[in-house]
Amino acid sequence: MKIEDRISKKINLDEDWEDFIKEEGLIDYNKIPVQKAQINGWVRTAFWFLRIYILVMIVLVIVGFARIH
Amino acid sequence: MKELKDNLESLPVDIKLRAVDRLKIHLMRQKYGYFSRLCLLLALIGPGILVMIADNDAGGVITYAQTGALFGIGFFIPFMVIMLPVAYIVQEMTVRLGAVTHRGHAEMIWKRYGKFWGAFSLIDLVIANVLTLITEFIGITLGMQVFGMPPLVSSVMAIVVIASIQLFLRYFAWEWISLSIAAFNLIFVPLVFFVPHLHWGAVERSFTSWHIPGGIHSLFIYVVLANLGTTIAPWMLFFQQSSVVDKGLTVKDIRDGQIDTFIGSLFMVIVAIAIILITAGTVYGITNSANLDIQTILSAIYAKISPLAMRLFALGLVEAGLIAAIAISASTSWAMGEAFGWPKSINMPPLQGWKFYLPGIISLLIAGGIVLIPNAPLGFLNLTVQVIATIFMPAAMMFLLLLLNDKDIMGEHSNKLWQNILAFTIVGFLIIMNGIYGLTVVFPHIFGR
Repeated sequence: MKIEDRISKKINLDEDWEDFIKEEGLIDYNKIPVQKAQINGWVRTAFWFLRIYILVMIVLVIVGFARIH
Repeated sequence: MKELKDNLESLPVDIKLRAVDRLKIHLMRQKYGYFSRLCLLLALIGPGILVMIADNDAGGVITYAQTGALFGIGFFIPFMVIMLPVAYIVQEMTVRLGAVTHRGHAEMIWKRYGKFWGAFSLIDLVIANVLTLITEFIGITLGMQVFGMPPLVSSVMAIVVIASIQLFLRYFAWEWISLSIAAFNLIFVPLVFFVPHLHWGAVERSFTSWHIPGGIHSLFIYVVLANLGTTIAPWMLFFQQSSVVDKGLTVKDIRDGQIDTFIGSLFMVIVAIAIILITAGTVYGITNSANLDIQTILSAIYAKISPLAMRLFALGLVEAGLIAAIAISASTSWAMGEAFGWPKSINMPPLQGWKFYLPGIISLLIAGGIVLIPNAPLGFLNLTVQVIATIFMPAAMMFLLLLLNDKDIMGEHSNKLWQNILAFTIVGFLIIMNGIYGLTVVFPHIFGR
């Protein structure tokens, strides 16, 4: 479409609707499954770091709350 | 055409309603010219501004007010300016993730990294959200008391208003009503110009001196960490991504989503600086106690500026609590819907989408009810929310970075090297600071008194 046509574009709902459906897809993403990620390499290390961090923080919280009461 | 219409009929009601809004965006995009471009931007902005303004919540307003009251304008004005890129870089990633995957953060964690991490994130988020909502209701009830409204009335009114706009409005209307409420967050800005003896030269000099009154001590570290915790919170990641998805943004809208996030970050920092300046000019020097309460701050504004300024500050506190409660309850509903495959759109009519609305409304009822209990351990609840956020934040950040580097789902929109350098630096810094914050909460005198 030429620029001047776009500036003065009149809405043609049937035509625009078809264009719109083609561009946006209107997909129900709930029906498309998401594949589980492969956990390896640096990602595996990151998960171990996270587990250790959570464990340390939970211990600190228990100790802290025990001191409060 | 008939086939297209038949396909549309088979879609869930929320997708059909979203399609109407998206068609308008599609038509706007067909037109050239500055005005059309501006209209398109205005139609696409929302999630970024909302999340950032909601981040200046009642707890945030109190934190900034205490910061100005305790430390003046020396260190924390330039510090807040640095928070702008920090908030932008973290939240911008949620725009790309939502626009590319069309799924919320909770759903992506649950489906991509398994039920354990999904459940861990969801439970943490829901507990932290309910506890944070309590702090919002504290702000709402305290602020409304200035106008003579009893806590019972203000709490019930807040629940009714928030639940109504979620239940009965479509996403588009919900967003514009929320943005209209959020606009009142700027009420703090004009108040700055009525602060007596505020020297703009001192504000300017703070950027070169970074002066810390009294040097680095435990209270200073605590306030730095509290400001950092106020700037980036776990619910923000979940909220903005879900909001981007519910609005229906696609990869074509990423640039506008980034502009939206930048505008939001800018407003957030301007309001935070305004609050610091107000209390720095009115309360600084009166006390150096960490337990400076909001009533003392309001009284000082009353005495040093005017009764009207105090009422406007209280109104700002109410607005901050209200907009944050809207955003946080929505993030709870979205996250539950995403995790369990329930409906997950504000476009859903109340009866068809009751499963989606229920978690958010229950969280509002719990929070709104707890603040009314006489002698409720609000201090303990505040401490618990800080601890949960401390444990949860690195996990939420890590999943965000993993997803943004996942080429299988992000393709060409995955993080570039420079984005990763910035993001990992910020996330590493946040994890360290969160860890220290956790330590100071559990062991308050770890850095001395």
